[in-house]
Amino acid sequence: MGRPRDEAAVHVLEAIMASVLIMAALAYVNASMPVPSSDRPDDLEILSSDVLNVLQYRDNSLEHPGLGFTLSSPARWQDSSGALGADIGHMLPDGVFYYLETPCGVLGQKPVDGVEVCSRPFVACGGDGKMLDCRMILWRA
Amino acid sequence: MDDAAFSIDFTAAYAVLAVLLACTFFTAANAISVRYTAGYADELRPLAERLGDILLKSPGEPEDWYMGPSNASHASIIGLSEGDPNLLSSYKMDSLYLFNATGLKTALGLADAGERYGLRIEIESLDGAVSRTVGYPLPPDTKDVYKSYRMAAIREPDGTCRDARIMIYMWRKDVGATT
Repeated sequence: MGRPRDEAAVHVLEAIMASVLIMAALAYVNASMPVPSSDRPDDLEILSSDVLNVLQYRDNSLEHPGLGFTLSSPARWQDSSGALGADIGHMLPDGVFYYLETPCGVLGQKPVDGVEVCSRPFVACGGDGKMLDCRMILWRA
Repeated sequence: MDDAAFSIDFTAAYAVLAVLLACTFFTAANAISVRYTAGYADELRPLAERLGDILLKSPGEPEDWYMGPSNASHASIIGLSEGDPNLLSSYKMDSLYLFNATGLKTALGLADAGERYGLRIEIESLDGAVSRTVGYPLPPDTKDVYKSYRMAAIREPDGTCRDARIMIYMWRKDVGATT
């Protein structure tokens, strides 16, 4: 008497299990697709190169100081680093942050653990002709 | 009676399966299509980056290519740099309008007989005072577009510099998801 009912329940279970298996297989195929790499660190590498070139070669002004000008003395760093940092932050696309290390001081936000980071060491010329070891870090939240 | 009940349960169970299968199929097909499309776009990354380097870091060949249509038509390299890397000449930026979309592609070494590639360059100063756009309109029906974000400074004729962002869009015309 109850056998067909039992069989029907088994069919429902089979249907659910089959759906789960098919979805799992499709999820596996989907996960193995080529992943777009627009967020790879080499984007940050190009961006860091662009930003440093702009800061290096653009003209100086009080509102938009150049890198060499800002690093020319500790006093100028005090006066101009805020504007320099604001310009760098303005240049970067949303979600990208910077951290600039110089002998005069640091600017920006330190990268947190587990994020994509591009670290670019560079040498800047100080006011007395001294070469300054600096580093720009770009990171993506 | 039992047979009829069994038949209804059986039909209901497989109807559920059919609906789930259909939903899963369309969702997965769309996801796979989008991921493959993004992969196609990503293949254009080296080309877009090379174009960006040429535009931003080279003054062009010959350097006076921007002086008129005749010079522009004979240019072997279209570069916007004033001399220093990432420092753009506003005169050269204006001269991009000497080219139509196909001519710009040809001038940048992207001549493709089948017209398979699309290119668009947008230059905008961060203060909004300068804006230049050349190339094809962005395709509304595909996600197969690689976007390269670059930074530069524009030197105006009066000597002032404006920080600017340059967006280079590249795509293949017959490839990509449409949803």
